[in-house]
Amino acid sequence: MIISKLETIRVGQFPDLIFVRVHTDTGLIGLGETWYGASTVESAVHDHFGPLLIGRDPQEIERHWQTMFRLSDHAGYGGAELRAISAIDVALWDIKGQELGLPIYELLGGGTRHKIRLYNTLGVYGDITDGYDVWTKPVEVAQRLLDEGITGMKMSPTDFIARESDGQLLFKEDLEWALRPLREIRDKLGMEIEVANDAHAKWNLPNAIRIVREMEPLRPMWHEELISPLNEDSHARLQDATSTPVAAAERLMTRYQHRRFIESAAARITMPDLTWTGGISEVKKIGILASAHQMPIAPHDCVGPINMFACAHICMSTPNVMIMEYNRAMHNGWYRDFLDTDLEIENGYLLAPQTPGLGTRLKSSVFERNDLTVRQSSERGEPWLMSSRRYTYPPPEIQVEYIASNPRRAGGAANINYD
Amino acid sequence: MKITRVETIRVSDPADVIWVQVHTDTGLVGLGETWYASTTVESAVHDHFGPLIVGRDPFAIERHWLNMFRLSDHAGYGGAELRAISAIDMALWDIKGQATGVPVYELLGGAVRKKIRVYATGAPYTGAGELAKELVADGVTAMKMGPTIPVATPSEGQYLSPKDLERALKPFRDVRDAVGDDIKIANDGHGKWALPVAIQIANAMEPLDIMWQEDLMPLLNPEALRQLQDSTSTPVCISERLLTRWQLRDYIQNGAAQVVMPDLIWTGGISETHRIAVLASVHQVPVAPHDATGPVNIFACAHICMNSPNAMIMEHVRPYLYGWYGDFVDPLPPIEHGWLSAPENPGIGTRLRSEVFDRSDCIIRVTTEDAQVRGMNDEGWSGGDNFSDDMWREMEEIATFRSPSITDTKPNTDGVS
Repeated sequence: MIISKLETIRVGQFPDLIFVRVHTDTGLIGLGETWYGASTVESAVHDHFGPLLIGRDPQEIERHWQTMFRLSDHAGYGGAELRAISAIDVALWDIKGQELGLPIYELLGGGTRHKIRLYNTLGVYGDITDGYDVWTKPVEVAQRLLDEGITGMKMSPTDFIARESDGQLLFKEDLEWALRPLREIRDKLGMEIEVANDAHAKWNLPNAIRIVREMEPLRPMWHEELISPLNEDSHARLQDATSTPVAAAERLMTRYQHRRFIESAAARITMPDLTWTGGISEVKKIGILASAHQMPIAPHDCVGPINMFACAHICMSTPNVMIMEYNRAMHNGWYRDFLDTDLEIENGYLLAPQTPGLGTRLKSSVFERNDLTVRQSSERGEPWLMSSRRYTYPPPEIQVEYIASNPRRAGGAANINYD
Repeated sequence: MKITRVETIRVSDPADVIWVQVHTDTGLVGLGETWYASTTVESAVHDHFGPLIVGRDPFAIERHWLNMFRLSDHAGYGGAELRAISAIDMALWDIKGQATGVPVYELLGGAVRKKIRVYATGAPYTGAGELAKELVADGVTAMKMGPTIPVATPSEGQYLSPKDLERALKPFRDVRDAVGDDIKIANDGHGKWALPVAIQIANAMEPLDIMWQEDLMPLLNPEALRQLQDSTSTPVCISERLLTRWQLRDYIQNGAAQVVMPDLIWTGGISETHRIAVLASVHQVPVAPHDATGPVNIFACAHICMNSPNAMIMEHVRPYLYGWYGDFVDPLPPIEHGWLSAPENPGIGTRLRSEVFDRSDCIIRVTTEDAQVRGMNDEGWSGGDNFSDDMWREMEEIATFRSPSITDTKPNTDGVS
């Protein structure tokens, strides 16, 4: 089987959303997704990774990941290139699952559970206005979730009050105002519902410490990104200041950045974003790394519909998964406009996808939208991302001469090289 | 002054380079540059950062840098976005220098020196000795090569046979045979090796008096690099691939890096490289800016080198300098007989040649003032969507009460909501 074509699909309605489809000569199509800066990701997929993958075996996922990562790391990994790698990686797993007739979690070692508990990140979309309502009727919002069987929620009470000083100055009256909804929930519902606190990296360290101390009696499920995860020593100081677990972090890229936070006890919950940090392959590895430190992972998911499927496979096959994020407003609001088959949610749990591969396809109606941007590439080539060879390798004739003169080299390299 | 348009310029060869020109309503144009995956950078400039800065004051560089960085860091910073930020940052410094009539290094605090020593990167596998003689004759006193790179391929850096090691050492021996100790030699490993092999290489090279060991291993684990530095008396140099002060900090603070080598056009521009140099100075280690890319980067690095007391030496690639750079910029970087002089023109110190715009392979893309930021909206995810109009009003009132000039002090360039 070889990869015959790469295709990206974007829609005007969600300019951050991009789907990647990897086509093969057998007719199997793998589907992946990422979110954020979609047009830039599109360029990375077609201009750099596409020419590398066309004509190659889609089953060599590990090799492709490694090669794509190394190429992008030539100038420092991260950003759009890593999101492109993440989406392609998911699509390759989808192909392998379909080819072998198994859901992806079976390929990741098999199920360790058949369903995973969800928590709801409060959002606003269409008829669902949890994100607004929590400020005026927090108890009602919490009760709504409990009635659906969902026992955890996440909100961002302090983002707004960070705005005025850019997180550098915190007034007590502002914090009191921001914590009003959570206090009301604790007053009326006690500990019936778990509440996680996400601050999107808006605060500096001392203000973050102040917030976690003030919130201690409210017993949040965790604190997430009160400070940006740029410095694991500062993050460790924040974790040391509270008995509440601190989570880190969706914006950490690959196992190499997560390692710093896991090994230095800078966080107690690992929260990778699968579509940003390197796809299914990388999150599986991050989960293993966390397990060696007896720490849970809680996959981040506040992006697009395909990520939910990909995370579902991680959650089913990874023993140290704690809980999975879910955005009710988006799932009910627009995910179904794109998904052929939806995930089943039952009484606050996400059930394991059962069809081979990822478990869903893009709806055919997606391709009839008038805000659609589709780009395809099917040319195999030497991507100029590999241009580093031009100035690090000897000229071709000297390479040939050396290889011919060396008996060990005559047998060829053990690795699957991209020459 | 106000930014009116942001323009990118790239060509088919070299395909990696991309220039950014930031235009203002005064007619001043700032020039920036980056290198690697230029089409992706182009998209980041126009689809994300360009719309954020047009219509705003080009002097607020610190604020623009922060806004662009935060926007990109929402999903993990790095890669193409950070290269776009680097190029834009450079262009903003260029504008400020031109507007004030001084070279950028004056704006960074002024010069501590008027010239900096350079080294020449790249050497042929056979004939490294001959090249060293030429360099020494021209006054160049340091060079860099990477002969361990090709021998890493068969094992992907996991194993190195004694025979291959000898082969990799040969060019170094040739140089010492040819010119003795008249030249310093650095070794660049391009991140190919596993830790034990890297230690083996560093030790084997010690008798050859190496200026530094650069990127023998991938820069993925500061503790592993610290082990490398601990096992050799040669300084370990780290690294063009590390992005922003936050990544470099790990390696500087733990002692893994005895030479700090930021790539200005990858790591966040003049602003961030300046901050990295300051951070390095706190740990008493030198900076040696990375340069193996386009012609404008050398100018930007020159300003860093003139201003930073802890600048050690500056990289350049002679075949580029005397080859294609001249097709694109005027003046050329002021490098002569082994030294880079302080650029004298106001701003960055060079301009793109007008012929560049006439080339048939020149691709120009422009963002104008009517552009909108599409996507990448951090506010949408950080709660902005979750605040009703009443709440915004209430908060504005609190803020106004506290600070009468709130409309000025607010981060008015966040423009993404």
